Amino acid sequence: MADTMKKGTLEFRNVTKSYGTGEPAVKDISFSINDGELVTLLGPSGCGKTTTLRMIAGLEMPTAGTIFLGGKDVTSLSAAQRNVSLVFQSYALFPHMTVMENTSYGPRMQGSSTKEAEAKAADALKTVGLTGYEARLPSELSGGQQQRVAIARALVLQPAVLLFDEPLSNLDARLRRRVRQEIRDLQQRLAITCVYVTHDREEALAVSDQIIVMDKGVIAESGGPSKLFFNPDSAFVADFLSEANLVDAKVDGTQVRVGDLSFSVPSRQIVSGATKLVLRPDVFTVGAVAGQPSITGNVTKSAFVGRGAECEVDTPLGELFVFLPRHTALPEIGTQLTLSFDPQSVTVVR
Amino acid sequence: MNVYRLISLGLCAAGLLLLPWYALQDSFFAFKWIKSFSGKEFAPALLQVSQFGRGWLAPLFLLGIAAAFLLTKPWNDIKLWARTLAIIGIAGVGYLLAQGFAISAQGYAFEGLKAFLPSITGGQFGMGAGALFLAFGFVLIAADGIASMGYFRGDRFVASSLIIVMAAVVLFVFFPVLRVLWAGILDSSGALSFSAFWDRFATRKIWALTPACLWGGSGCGVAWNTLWLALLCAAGTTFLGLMLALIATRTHTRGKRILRLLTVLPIITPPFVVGLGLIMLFGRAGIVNTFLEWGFDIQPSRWIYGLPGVLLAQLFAFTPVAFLVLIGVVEGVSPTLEEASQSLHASRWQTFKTVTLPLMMPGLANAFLVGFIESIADFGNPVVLGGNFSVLSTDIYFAIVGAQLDQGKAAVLSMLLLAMALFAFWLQQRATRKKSFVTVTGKGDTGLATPLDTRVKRVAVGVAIPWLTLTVVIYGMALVGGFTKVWGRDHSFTLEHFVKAFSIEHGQFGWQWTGAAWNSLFNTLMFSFAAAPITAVIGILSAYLIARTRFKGQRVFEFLTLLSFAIPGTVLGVAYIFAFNVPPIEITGTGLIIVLCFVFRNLPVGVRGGIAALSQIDKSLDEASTTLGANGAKTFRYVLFPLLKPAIVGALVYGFVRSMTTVSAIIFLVSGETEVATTYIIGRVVNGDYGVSIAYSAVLIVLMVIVILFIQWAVGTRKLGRRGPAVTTSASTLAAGGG
Repeated sequence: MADTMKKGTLEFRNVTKSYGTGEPAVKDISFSINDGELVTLLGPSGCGKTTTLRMIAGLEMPTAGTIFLGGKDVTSLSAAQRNVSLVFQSYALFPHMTVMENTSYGPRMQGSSTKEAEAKAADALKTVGLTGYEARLPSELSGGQQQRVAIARALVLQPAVLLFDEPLSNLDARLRRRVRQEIRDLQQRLAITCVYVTHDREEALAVSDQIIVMDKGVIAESGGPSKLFFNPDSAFVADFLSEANLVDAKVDGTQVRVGDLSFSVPSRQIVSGATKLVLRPDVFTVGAVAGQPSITGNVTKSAFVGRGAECEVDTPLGELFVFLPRHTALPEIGTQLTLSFDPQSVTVVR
Repeated sequence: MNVYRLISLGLCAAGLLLLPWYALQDSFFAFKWIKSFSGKEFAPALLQVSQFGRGWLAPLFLLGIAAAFLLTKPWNDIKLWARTLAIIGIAGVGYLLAQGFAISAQGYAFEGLKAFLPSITGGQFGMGAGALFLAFGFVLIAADGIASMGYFRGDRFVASSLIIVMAAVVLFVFFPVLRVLWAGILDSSGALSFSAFWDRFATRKIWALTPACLWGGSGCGVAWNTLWLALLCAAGTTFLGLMLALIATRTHTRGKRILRLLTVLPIITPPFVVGLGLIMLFGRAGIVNTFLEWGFDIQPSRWIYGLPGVLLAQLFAFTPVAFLVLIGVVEGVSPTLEEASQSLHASRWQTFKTVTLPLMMPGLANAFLVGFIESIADFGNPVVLGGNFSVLSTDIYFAIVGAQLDQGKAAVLSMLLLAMALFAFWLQQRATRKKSFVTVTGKGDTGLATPLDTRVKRVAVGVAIPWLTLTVVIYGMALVGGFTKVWGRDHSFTLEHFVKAFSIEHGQFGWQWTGAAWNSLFNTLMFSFAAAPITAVIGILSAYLIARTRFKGQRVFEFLTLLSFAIPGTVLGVAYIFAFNVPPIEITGTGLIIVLCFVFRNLPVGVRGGIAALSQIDKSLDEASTTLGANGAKTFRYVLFPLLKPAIVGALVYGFVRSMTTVSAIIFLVSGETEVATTYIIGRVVNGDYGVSIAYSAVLIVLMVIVILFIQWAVGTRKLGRRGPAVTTSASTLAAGGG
């Protein structure tokens, strides 16, 4: 405990995990996480994010590579020996145990007396605001409450790292926003390192200090939420995080040429070797704007989605997916539309 | 030192120093051995070595001491230490078995050994409690070492469970079966001889084939008889089962409840009860013949004794099993698919023909093969109704107990029966593996089951009503028959059969169980009570190993445990005689062999039930427990065991009930003292004493219902909100049973 500052650091060094013969589920990934950070592993299903999480927990053993926890090599330690707790997607509450029995399970298994274990459990339940529910069975709780029990049960052993496996996927849409904020608040209050797996980009953007985007077993890119959203380096991340339009471009210094258009982009928004212009759906304004590049095309699809309109516009640059905020009128199919965008808000990626 | 290591050393010490090393003439539980501790027959290994010149046991002491020495303090080089420990444990078990097989009652068992081993005087008997304890101790030590080497994720609980289960299955299933195969290729003097095998195998008695015999005539070889009967039985039970399953799941008939109730019948009735009922109905002195003779002066016919009778009996006995299998299959067809078909303008009949039926094909194939396996394994019905029509199981029986006493013949017939069963089992595995398009998705599948096409429904109802009526009549016969004097001749009411079987008299020595059936009834209850918990423990443990842990060779392990399912009871019974008649395991004629036979006959039911139950428990519960710091044993104890309670009740009930009703395996193993209810009844039937047998069967059925209720009450079930009692799930696992 001398080194409390570094207690919750986590590092993966060249970790690979393969099952049997096929392609490895995780290929030679390396990253490190600072103490007290909430880091999200984000990616489509099958990208290796859950496998990575399970390797942190010790439920899967890496085929190659090293895992460091708090500066110590824990690669060969079993799940029971690691100072890490996992909140399962399904919560995995023991259905035959009460809330108190569930929460005190960890300390009891580690050899605490029942009294001691229950005191710790009571603390943890207080932290998640479930005091008074001790005698209930999981089946007598709502989904949100079940999840809080799962978090309390994970917290009770005071883990160095707390892991969440898609914690919101079993909640209905309205609860999600609230619960994810609760998780974030709790994490910041306890200043505990968290690793959070999700495939929902909005969720990832909302809760994370850092996001690690994974694709096909490798890390596509990592960084803070706004960096990845506004200024990604890879086409995959641009597409995955903002459903951006990717247009082939010629880049010369800060000068970008797409089709007939030519404009300059701030240098910080250009990655070396970039070949694709990222046009997020929300960068467009209708009509020509002085000093901004603009394109004209026919509206082929148009849908009202409440906050505004989603259209597809057939332009010389190709079919563009465009989001227009509510104050503009819903464009009708077949009409011609001129779209401008600010070069300051576009990026160019590899 | 932790508890695990104390236990393993304690077992070793008890085995070597305290308990009688050799099997005792009387029961171990008579505790005579405590009084005559130092007697030659009762002495533990220590005295056997020091006093009675059995020096070949000495190395076991060296290994035991070495293990104790190692366990007190691990070395710095933990890997080397672990490996040494594993080697000592394995060597201990290995040496224990090797000396047992090498040295029999008259010295060396194989001539060749004399040449290079020191000469010994005397021999030894079968191993006893001491050897058993020591074997357990060494196994635990070996598992400790193997787990410490890093296998099984370092979990001793998993390692030792696996080794114990594996050793038990090999020793009590595969060793005996291989022993039978071996006996088939030995000639009468005990020498290896392929021609002896060929003489027994290639005979007309087995392979003769004439066209006439397919229609009930005689003259066919026993192999063809068995095959033909099994095919007919399988086709019949599958058809009847499907019709009943369609009625039960796709109609709104009132009789649905009764149908479900019927599925319990074959589980709680001894397999020959149907045969008895048929005799009383269609037999020479049966109701039908009596009526025909009285009304139309038609001579009684004997058609029931032979293929038609056996087939009819098997159809009635095994259709409920097919029904049970097929309910699951029919329910597995997603109603949404049928709705989709109908929304595409297919009629009900077209939907049934093009969607429902093809989706059920693998399930139907499975039901067919289950029926096939049931039929070839059946012993009770052929022996009661077969007459001159012989099948493999009955021929094996008569080769062993009959006047011919031809062990070689029994061995070869067993091989044949086993081969047929294994082939069917292999096909069945393939059929069930391929069911990938069966449509249970687990996610919101909310269609309504399509009502049956009228034509299909008409056939189904037309088949079901006569079948149900006859079933009720047959079982009714079997109950009423016990209360009539002499069936077919004197139908007046009497209790004399019950009195004969179950009388209790108050004499000068107090109350006495004077009825003829008491001995066998008490034996049955005792053996079944002893076997049920062992079956449940090993079964659930194996299921846990298969479904919840990962280790190399897991598929092989799973295959072997389920393979033992396919071994017909007759073969296992014969195998037990061959294997356990001589040291080192000399237990024929004892109650122990019967208990073991029960356990390993019923084990696959426990395994399947356990796997089914475990598959309903989310695997993340185990993982949650592990991340919270619990090891395999604790996870099992605190998380899985409580959740598995319904499955355990199921395994206990079925283990018990199947033990009570089994005939085929046991009939070879009982002695005068250890006779059980079913073999007693079969004996009465063969002697033509129907009254007592029927009365006894009825008592047995009633008793079984009481015991089932008692077990459920005693173990208790814990309800967890949405989870229903899971006993029903284990019912379907019974489906591939076999008499």
